[in-house]
Amino acid sequence: MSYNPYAILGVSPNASDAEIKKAYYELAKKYHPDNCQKEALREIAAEKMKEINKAYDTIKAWREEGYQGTSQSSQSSSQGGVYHTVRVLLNENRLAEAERLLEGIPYNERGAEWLFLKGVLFMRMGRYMDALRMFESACREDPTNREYREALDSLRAATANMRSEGSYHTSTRGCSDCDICSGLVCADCCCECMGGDLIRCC
Amino acid sequence: MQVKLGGKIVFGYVKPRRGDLRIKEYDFYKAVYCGLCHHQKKLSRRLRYMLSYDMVLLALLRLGAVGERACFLKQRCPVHPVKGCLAVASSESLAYTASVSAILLYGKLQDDSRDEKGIRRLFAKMMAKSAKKAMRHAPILALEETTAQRLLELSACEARSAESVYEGAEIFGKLLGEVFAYDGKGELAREKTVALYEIGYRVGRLIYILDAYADRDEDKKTGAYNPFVLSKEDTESDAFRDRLVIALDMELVQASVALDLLDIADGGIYAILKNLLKLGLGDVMREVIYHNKRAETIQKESRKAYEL
Repeated sequence: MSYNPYAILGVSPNASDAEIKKAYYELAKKYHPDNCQKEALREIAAEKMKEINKAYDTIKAWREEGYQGTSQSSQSSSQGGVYHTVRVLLNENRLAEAERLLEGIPYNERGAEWLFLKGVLFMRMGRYMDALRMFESACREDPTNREYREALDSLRAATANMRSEGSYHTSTRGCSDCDICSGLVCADCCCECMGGDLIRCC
Repeated sequence: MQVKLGGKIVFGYVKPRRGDLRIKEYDFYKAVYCGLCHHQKKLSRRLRYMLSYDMVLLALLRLGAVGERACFLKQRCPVHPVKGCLAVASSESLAYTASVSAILLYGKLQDDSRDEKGIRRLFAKMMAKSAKKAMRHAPILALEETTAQRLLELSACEARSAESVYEGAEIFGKLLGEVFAYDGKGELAREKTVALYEIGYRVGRLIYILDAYADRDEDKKTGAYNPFVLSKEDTESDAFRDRLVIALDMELVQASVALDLLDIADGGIYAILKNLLKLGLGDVMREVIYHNKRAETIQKESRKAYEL
């Protein structure tokens, strides 16, 4: 899960081809270097544009191969099969079943992945405090895992702009409403590509 | 918005960050409060003194969602006997909010008259009578039923000592969601009721959790139900507080998104609401979570307003 083109385009991995195309065009319009008058900005825009193009091409290539990008990373533990099922259930929003499966795993076999999946489950239930606790524990258990770290960071990032002291009248600093939405969408994508979901409808 | 947790009355979590309001917005905010007070008076004279600042949020949301034009009147009242105050004149949104306030107060006071002792009990009984009268004055039967139902669920949740704070929060969130989105006359579009529900739901959850956290010390002493007292975690640790703030910020983020979807045409109302939900509630929340001392003074102040 090192490179996630879906997150760059701000779409869910389950998005249709048309949706992806639309997202791509919108981003391309937004970041087109010709929009920028300042040279420095133009470079940033060009960089961004390159990234978007690459992401779009990758998704297209994957889809042509029939690869949906949902197959998950290493499932080395003995509970790998169960965890995979839990991920599928979480993706389909069958929370009660996922919870039952997770609770069925004996205590001594619960590792970082268990904590992480429990966190995703809490997230889907809207129990953010518990989700945070689980993600933190998962990161402590397995500090090298990027998936867990990203889940934790995206949750923190979604609320980052609430912490900035700036006023919304002077939009020169702080975040605009647009940023909240895009932050949420990003968090959603991060969660989704890990088998979770933040915003149910997309 | 009075949450009953351990027999304590809660006022004034929903306040604007004054420094970030324009003067005309602040005036409007105050006018809505005064207008609400006058509407409350029409229902019951006594009840007006129990009006909470939190109800202004509901009044503003309804004003914005319905798109009602607010007219102002300068009126005198016991609080401003000489100078008078600028108040929003009769408006359906405000009348609705006043009725809701009566319904919520009635639920709370009934609880109080059961649990409290001595003079407080007498007071609660007296006020409950006024609240009932007020409810009869402008009945919203559907809402009265659902509110009573939710309050029952809440006390059931307390009785079985639910372990997670989210169980109670869910019920209280639903209660406020239903209250915010109630549409007896069918004058609101579906998207609007959905957005209103979401805002009520998020604010309700936040208030419930925040209130439980604020009351944890007192509840520990009295032995009243409080999920944070039951919690196995160290609720005083900085890590726990940080987590709580992020979790509650999530509720505010969702409420702000819903507010944008509500598509309020009046820029002033929108600005006040944005301030209330994003800045005001966030400030109060941080104060309660990080510096408990200041939160106590807030409550003391609001109690003064309550005794008046």
